[in-house]
Amino acid sequence: MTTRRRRRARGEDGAALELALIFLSATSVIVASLLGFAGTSSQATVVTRTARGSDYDADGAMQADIAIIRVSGSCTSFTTGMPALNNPSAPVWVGCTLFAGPASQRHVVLSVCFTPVTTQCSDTSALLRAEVIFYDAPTFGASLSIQSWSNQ
Amino acid sequence: MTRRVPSRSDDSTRRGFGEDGSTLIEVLVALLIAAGAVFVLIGGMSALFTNSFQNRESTTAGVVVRDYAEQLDVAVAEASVAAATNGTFWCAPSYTVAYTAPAGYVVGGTGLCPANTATTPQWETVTVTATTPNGATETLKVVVRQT
Repeated sequence: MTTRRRRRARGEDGAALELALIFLSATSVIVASLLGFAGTSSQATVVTRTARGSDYDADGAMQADIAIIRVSGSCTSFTTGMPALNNPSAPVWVGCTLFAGPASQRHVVLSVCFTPVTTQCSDTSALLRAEVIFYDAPTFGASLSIQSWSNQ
Repeated sequence: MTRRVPSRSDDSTRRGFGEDGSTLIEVLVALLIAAGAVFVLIGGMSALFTNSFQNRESTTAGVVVRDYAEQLDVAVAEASVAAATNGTFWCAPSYTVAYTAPAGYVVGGTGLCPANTATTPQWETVTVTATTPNGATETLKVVVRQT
């Protein structure tokens, strides 16, 4: 009996089941890793879309504020009313700083950052900064010149 | 006392009630498990291919809307300069943009113009939409203004 049991333990009975289980385990690991890879790719797509949306929101807020300052004449900082278009969950704020300039000119520095911000954006937090000169001759807000436009 | 010597038929009978056939059952179970694994693998790979395909189209659509938006800025600037020269309103609901989308993709933009007054800020929000060959859409909103 002992001899028979030893012979069975060293035989090939059950080998197919073991091979199947090994195959199943290997398959599970491969599928899980590939699905993880695909999931990472999907997340990367979403993150890229969000980053692009924030870029264009900052750009849009800057463009809108330039248009507003051009006709209003005041150096206006905005939180509301700015077009947080692509990422409504991440609204942006535009800050305006006025500098002295020649007659009939307005020199401003505008910076865009995520809310909540109540003062001028710091260089490290600004998404976008621009230096703009508004020319008020021959008519008010007749033209403008963008001196610099720098993204973070 | 006579010792009985098992005959061949006795041996067969004993084996028939013993472990004969267990290997067949094991093979069948193993085959069942392996078949299940293959189905899972095929399903997983199919999901991967679909996901990869959708990701590629989505990424391409993202590039398309961004390229279109960049060219839209140029088109609006040119239209604005031309309008200033001609004394016409700079803004339009849509613009002719010098951009050709990849085969199968459709892209366009529409906006709402501000009032044409001296006190109204002259900027326009344009919604750029790209449609993939499979019908999925990618949207980007951009702001353009009078030059």
